[in-house]
This record gives sequence, C-alpha cells and structure tokens, in this order.
Amino acid sequence: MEDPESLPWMERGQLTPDREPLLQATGLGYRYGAFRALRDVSLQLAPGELLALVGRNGAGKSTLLRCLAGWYQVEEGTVEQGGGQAGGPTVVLVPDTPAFYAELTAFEHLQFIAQLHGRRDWASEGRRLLEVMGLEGHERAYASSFSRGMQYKLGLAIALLSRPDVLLLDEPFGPLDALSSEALYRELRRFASEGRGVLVSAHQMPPSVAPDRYLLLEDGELLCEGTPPELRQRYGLASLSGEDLLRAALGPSAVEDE
Amino acid sequence: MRAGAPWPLLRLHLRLWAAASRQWLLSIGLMPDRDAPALGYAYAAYALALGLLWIGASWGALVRLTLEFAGILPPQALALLRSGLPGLFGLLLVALAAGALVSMPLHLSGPDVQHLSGARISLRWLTGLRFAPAALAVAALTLPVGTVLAVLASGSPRHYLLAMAVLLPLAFGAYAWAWAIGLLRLSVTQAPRRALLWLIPVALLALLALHVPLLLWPGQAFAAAALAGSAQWPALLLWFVAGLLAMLWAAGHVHRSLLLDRSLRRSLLRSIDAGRRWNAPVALQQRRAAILSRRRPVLRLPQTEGLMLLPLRAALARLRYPSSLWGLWRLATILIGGVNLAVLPTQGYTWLLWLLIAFVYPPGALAEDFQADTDPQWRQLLHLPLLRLLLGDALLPGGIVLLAGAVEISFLRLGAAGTLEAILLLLGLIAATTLAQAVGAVARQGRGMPLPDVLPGAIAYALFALVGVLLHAVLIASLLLLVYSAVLAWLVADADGPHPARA
Repeated sequence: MEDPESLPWMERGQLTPDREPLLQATGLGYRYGAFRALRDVSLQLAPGELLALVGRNGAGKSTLLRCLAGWYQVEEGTVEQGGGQAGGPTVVLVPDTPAFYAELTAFEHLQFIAQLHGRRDWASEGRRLLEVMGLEGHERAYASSFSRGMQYKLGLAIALLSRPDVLLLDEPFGPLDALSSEALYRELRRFASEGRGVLVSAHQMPPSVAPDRYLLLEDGELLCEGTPPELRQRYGLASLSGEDLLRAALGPSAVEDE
Repeated sequence: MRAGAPWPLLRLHLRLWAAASRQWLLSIGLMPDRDAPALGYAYAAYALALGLLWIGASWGALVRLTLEFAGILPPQALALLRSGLPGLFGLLLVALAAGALVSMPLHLSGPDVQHLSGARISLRWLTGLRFAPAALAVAALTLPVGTVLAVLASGSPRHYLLAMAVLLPLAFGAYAWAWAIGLLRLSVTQAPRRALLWLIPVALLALLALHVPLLLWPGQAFAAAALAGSAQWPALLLWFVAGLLAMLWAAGHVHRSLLLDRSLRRSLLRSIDAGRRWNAPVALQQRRAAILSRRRPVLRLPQTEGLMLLPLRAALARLRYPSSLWGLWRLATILIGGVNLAVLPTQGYTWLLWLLIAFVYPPGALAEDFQADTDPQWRQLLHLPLLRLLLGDALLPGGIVLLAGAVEISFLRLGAAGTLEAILLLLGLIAATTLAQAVGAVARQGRGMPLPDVLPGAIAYALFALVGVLLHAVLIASLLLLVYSAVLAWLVADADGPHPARA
C-alpha cells in the first residue's frame, strides 16, 4: 500500500486503481418506521483519508454512521469494507455519548479490550493515548465519574487502542474544548497516516480541523461532496469550514438556525 | 425554628398513597372503569377474592412444604436451627444496623426537596409518615420467612400463627432501631465523624459474641412463641415503642441540608429507576454507574489474557458492587425452589403461578455481563463469537447458583441417583434461563432475533412445570431443558451472523 503521507495533500482523499476504499456505501437507505432517515447515500473512504460529514441537527449523520458501523441493519443499498485484517477490528464507531462498564475504571477499560484479545504491548500505548486525551491522573477513576467531554475522550482512547481500519466518530468535537479538539485532530491525523480511514460527523467543526474531504448531508440525502479546493471553487469561497459549507450550500439561515 | 403543623403533610402523603394505589390497581386490572363502575367493582371484588384465596392456598402450601422439608432434614440440623435462633436474630439486627448506614432510610423525592427547603416541615412527622408504608413492606417480607422459620424450628404447624404475631412487633422494632441508626448518619455533617458510626454495628457484633442478653432476646422471644407457644407481650410492646421513640428522637436531629443533598442524589437514582419499565438492564447499568461514581475502586482487574478475563471481570464487578449479588440470590432462590418442587414428593401446583411470574420475569443476573457486552459499542470491540462471550460472562454467576443449589440438594437426602437427577435438573434450568436471558439481550439489540424477549423464558418454564413438577419426571424434564437450551444456543449463534459492514 502506498504511504498516504507521501501523497500531495490534494490526493490523500482520492482513490486510484491501486488504492481500494476502506469503506464503501452504495445507495444506502434507512427508515425509522414511516420516517425516511437516509435515502440513496453513496460514499467511499480511502486509506489515509480524514472525511468530514457535516449537516444540521437531524440531517441523518448519526444514522449514517450507525449504518456504516453495522449497528443498524441496512435496509436499502450495501456497505462494503475492504482491506480489513483478519480477526482484527475493522470498523469502530464512537457514538456521541459513549457507554462504559459501570464497574471498571478508565484504565481497566483499555486493559480489558487489549488483554481479551491477547495483546501484550498495549500498556504503554494505552497510557500514551490517555495522556494525549488529557486523562492522565484519572486512570483509576470510574468512567461514570467523568464529565461528558472526558467520557468522549475515554471512548476515543479505547477505540484508538483497538486499532480499527476505519474509525467513525459521531460529533467528537461537541463536548471538547478548543485545545482538546486540536489534540484530537493531531491524533486523528497520526492515526490516518498509518493507512487507516477516519470519518468524523459534526454540525460545527472547530477551525483547527482541516479534513481531506467534506460530505454534506441534508434531510438524509447527500447534497454535495468534495475536497476543500473543489468546494471553495464551486461556491466561490475564500476559505472553507464546516459552517461555511453549510451556509453556502443551504443558505445563510442554515447556520443561524443552529 | 419551630416546625409547622403536620396536617398538610399528612394530607399530601395520603393523596400520594391513594394515587400510587390507584396506579397499582390499574396495572393489575382492578381499577373500575369509569363508564361501568358497578361491573368494575364486581370484577374487582371477584378478582380480590380470587387473589386472597390464592394467597391463602399458597400459605397452606408453604406450611406443608416446610413440614416436608423439616421431615427430610437430619434431626441435628433442626436442633442446630432451634438453638441458633437467638444468634441468628442477633446477626440480623447487626445486618440491619449496617444496612441502615449504607442506605439512607429517610429520603425525599424531587418535589419533596423543593417543598422541604421552602417550608418548616417537622422531620419527625415526615419520618413517621415514611416509616409506616416501609413497615408494611417489612411485614409482607417477614411473615412468610417467619412462617418457614417457626414451622422448621418446631417441626409442627401448632404455634406458627403466634410466632408470626410475635415476629411483627419484633420486626417493626428492629426496623425502627435500624432507622434510628440510619438517621444518626444524617445528623453528622463531618465525614470523618460520620464514619465513626460504623462502630455501632461492630460494637453490636462484639456484644453478640459476648452473649449480651439484650441482643439475644428477640430470637429467644421468637423461639418461645414458635416452640412453646408463649408470648411476652409487654416486653414486645416495649421493644417496638422504644425503637419508635429512638427513631423519632434521631429524626429530630437530622441535618436538613445533608438530607436535601443526599435526597437530590437519590432522586437521580429514582429517575433512572423509572426507566426500568422500558429497558431494565440499561436502567440497572445506569443505576450502578451512578452509585459507583461516588466510590473508590477496590482491587484491580487481573493481568490475564483471553477468555479467562471475562469471569475475572465478573468477579471484580461483584466485589466492587456487591448489591448485584442480590439479583443472583433471588434467581438462585427461584431456580433451587423450582428444583425442590420437582424432586420433593409435594403437590406443587399451588406454586406454579408464583413460579410462572418468577420464570417469565427473572432477574437478568446470569446474563447481565453479556447484556452489557452485546451493546453495539462493546460488541464491535469484542471479537469473540456470541456463544463464547456468553460462556465467559455466565460462568461465574451460573457456577455460584449451581454450587449453592448443589449444597442445598445435598441436604435433601435423595440418594445418589436422586441427587444426580436434581443437580441435572438444576443445570438444565440454569442453562435454559441463561440462554433465555441471552436471547432477550440479543433481541433487545435488534439483531434479527425472531422471538420477543420474554417468550424463551416462558417456554422454559412451561417445559419445567409440565414435565418436572406436574409429572414429576425429573430426568426427562432435565433432558428437555438441555435440548431446549441447545435450540436457544443455536438462536444466539445464528444472531451472530454476518456483520453488515463486513459483507
């Protein structure tokens, strides 16, 4: 596999004949009873790519992530995953409010996941991840005593330790402060640089986060997608953030409504 | 500051009790319809009569079953029970005192907190009003236990009614003393001084070991009623009244801000409990997390790799949160009681309704770790087939129930073949219950399971009740339960099918 870091920034998110997508959804649809939450959504996630899924509240972002992770039984279309290592975790989703085992401490969550699968080199990596997430000093505390932001960071540390091929994050920046958001972004870049894929959903993206490609979801449909230069050109923008994209594609009221 | 008149508080509580009673009657179909009240009242009276008849029949069956059990037990065990009654009651007093220090006897609901913080309400009255319904619940639990103890100790049903009558003031008094100790905890604001209150149960235990007469007296009073048919009514009344006065005295010293603070924490747990009606396992997990978040973790997860980590985690979880053993104990009682019905020569028909309720809605204690592991967030990280995961998760709780049951069965003197059959039946029940709970857990995650989550338990019960209890065909019932367990295991394994994102 080609080293994604060696590619020009523009090409990181693009597929070539020798680079298969890590995750591919085609014509995805999902309903909650009579309500159609997703319709005909198709997307690809390339190795080394950091993809941002933006959209307003209720646009279907969480549903799409749950379908991609296999938490929901897909009703229409297909989700295919390539490049997975046999026996290893392939797609891992961190939901917006992660759940934890009531009786295990923060560090024991990492230990449990790592040792259940016979990993011996996990401890230093686990400590490093907790440090990156700003959770050092809280290893021996129950996760239920954490604030929402700390709980999300712990959920992320556990997911990163499991080394999935694809990491799906639902609203990771929502409960985080600006410094933690920056640290998380650096960690996600590092993670993606190992040839893995990251898909991040957000209705508000911090300025420090620069994804390789944006997907805009509105009312369960994929409204537009593209790299930042493509979208800047399409909408005639000098700079591009998640909010800029929402405003340009849906009108100024889209962001004001938020 | 002088507290206000108690009447508004009394009226408020009467209304709350009336509303709760209406809700309860409505839930069991006994609340008359507004459009046809006459018919509704007639039906309610009919259902009430039927219910009382059933309770009466069950009571008679309880006495008969206990007598049969007493006939089977070796005479030395019965003699030990008789001589040990004072000590047993003394230990119960110590346990009640410790329990009162762990859980708060007096607590307020969210609206109560607002009301109390703005009004001068007498805490003595409030305590009295809260104690009354709690004492009724104690009576409901005490009477059947007292009946079993009295009949078992005396080996005859002669004096059990008197023993029950004696047990009520004993239990109410003990409960009031325990509340007094619990209320003392709410009167000390400094945590280190509050911790000193733990010296009370320790001191009680020491006094019990020294055979101090006051601690042995409740058991002696009960034994006198159950064995000799004599009751010391003035002393019993004094015991109860003294407990009540001690409780009201302690209520007068409760620190209001401490009570409000603890009540707010508790109202959070209550709001979680309200979710049990919709998703009991998740509500239990949330409740556990809310309680543990205020505790310091004890011990550590052992450094072990692979599947053995699952039972070790289960052991650690139970050591850190021992209250979870309560659900396991209840389940063990149901399962072991069921085995007794099948293997003892009693006519167990009266118990079938109770067993139906117990089996269809058993505490999910055997598969509660599995339930947590099948949450999609964890399932995606635990790369084990569902059946292996279930085996690892249920090994410890299932083993505890099997061991407890085997010990109980060994006392029944059923002979080698009979003991083996009884243990096999218990194994079948444990396997079927575990897998029924696992099917429920998987069904709740919506992974294409074709069965509603209570149906597997109901089918297991029907097999057991028809073949095991009604026909007394213990071996066939065991085999049927094991075959049924294999079918449920297949369903669980089948639900582990292809992951949509890995197609």
